[in-house]
Amino acid sequence: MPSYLSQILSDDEKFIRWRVCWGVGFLMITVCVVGGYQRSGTRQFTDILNQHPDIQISGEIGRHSFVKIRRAVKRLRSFHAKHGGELNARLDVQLAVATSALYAKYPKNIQLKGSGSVVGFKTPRSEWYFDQIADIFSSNSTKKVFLFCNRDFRDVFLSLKTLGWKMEIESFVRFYKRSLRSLIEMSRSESVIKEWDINIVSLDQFLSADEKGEWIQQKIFQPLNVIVSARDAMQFFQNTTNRNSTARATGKPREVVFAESDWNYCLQDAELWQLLGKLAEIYPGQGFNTLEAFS
Amino acid sequence: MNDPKLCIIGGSPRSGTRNFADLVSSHPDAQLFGEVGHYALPNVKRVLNEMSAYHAEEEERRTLRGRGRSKNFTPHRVALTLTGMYAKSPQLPFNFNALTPTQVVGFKTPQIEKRWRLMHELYGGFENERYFFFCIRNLDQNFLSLHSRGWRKDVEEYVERLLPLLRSIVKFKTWNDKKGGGWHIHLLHLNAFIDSVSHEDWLFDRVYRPLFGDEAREAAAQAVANTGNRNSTLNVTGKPARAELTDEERHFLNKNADLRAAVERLNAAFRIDLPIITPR
Repeated sequence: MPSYLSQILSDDEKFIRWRVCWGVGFLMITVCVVGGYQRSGTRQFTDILNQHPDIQISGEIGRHSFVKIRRAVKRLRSFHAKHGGELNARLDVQLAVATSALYAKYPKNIQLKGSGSVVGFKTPRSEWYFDQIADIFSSNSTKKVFLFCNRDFRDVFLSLKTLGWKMEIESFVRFYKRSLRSLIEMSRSESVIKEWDINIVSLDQFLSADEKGEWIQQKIFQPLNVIVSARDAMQFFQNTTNRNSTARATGKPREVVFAESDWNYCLQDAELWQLLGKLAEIYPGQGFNTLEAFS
Repeated sequence: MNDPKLCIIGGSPRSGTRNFADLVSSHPDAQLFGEVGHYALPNVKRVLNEMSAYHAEEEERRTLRGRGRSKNFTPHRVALTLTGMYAKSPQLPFNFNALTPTQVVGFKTPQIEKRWRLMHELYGGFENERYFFFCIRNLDQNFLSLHSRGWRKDVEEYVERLLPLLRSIVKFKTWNDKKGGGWHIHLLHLNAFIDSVSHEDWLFDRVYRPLFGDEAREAAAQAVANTGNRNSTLNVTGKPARAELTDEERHFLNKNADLRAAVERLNAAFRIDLPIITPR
């Protein structure tokens, strides 16, 4: 392997390339699930990832279908175990993703791109049912990455409202807290963190980053062990349109003023701040410090 | 919808299903996978039903909400995708968007004719020509090949397993002819292929012309030239198939009234002359 590659590649990537160079075994596959609250950039980050020739993130998969996907995948595994089918780790993951894609909002017969080394799906609020996702991708011989898209919750609420979500702040905070709670549970579960790399992708930080290419390279591609230059990453971003932005989806810009009454409601919800505080501890500097930022 | 043509290869095990599937697959416009166990079909149906119900519910919700695009859930395509996932060497989905109506997709499943109703239920929605090829060979040779391959059952059990296949394919054809099932059902007699003066002519007339059109004669010749019989008894076991039946086996095959009746019906339905015992 050339020395310059040795310097820039992670150990995992070196190992993969070594196996490929010497024809040892199969190319390792990475599973990537994009979650987080809706209107936090899940679509945009997925689109950027999908610009890479070896990455295939399908979606959107409805989170209510996980239980069905899990059952279908479990049946498939049992069938092959019973009848001696050849189901290695790579194929196991690919079949799980293919099954998931058939449950997508707009079902697809997915095609693997390039080397097919990164596959997965995007589902806002998928963290609510993470135990089911973990069962869908139960193979041990794969790298698994969960990208949690995060955004200042006030912007999330305003974006949802502009989009026509008719609920009040009370409902929103209740649902939002569930996402935060799920993320904390995942991050504190030894069995989860043993198998999954959980990464926070902050939309606010992305929007305010001066060097967007570098930001994308480090925050999105690096966790997947996918080597791209900052320039390529920037190109991927430029190739995508933020097709799910509020302005595109509704024809009008997002509301920008968070009502005082809504803010007062949030302020008196101790659990909300407690959850955000815990996440700020677990993931410092990843956009969970709303109150601090506000202060 | 621009569905490709569908081709399913069934028939008795050790009757050339692999060889004919390879011959079809060698055409550049064909994508066949297999083998799929016929016992996988009920699993495919169960998963497909759950998916269809899920998407129907979602569609209903979408209609009530009055927004969002309509779903494009095509059960027959999904059924084929799921079938690939249940293949002995599992397959990922076809890229249906890239396939044209002149191209051929499908799979091979020996004995699938036993489940022809389910087969029609799953794949009958293909909006293009649907072909079913039933592979068979002289029955004594079929038994000897199975036996040489390591199938340690006696001739009585062979007949017991064969009868449902012969009866099913006749029922399937009768139903298809009477009810307009839309399938093109062909019988591929392995002995006739092997004994034919020109293998390429035989293959072209019975398989390639129906599937790929009048221009496919050259492709049929290439297929014959390039395709080896990789599943032959010799290739699989390292030794040739047993050549002779015992007297008891011959006697049983000759005298079994049920078998005789089933073969007569098959011969009448397909206008062929399949022998139970190969003439010397």
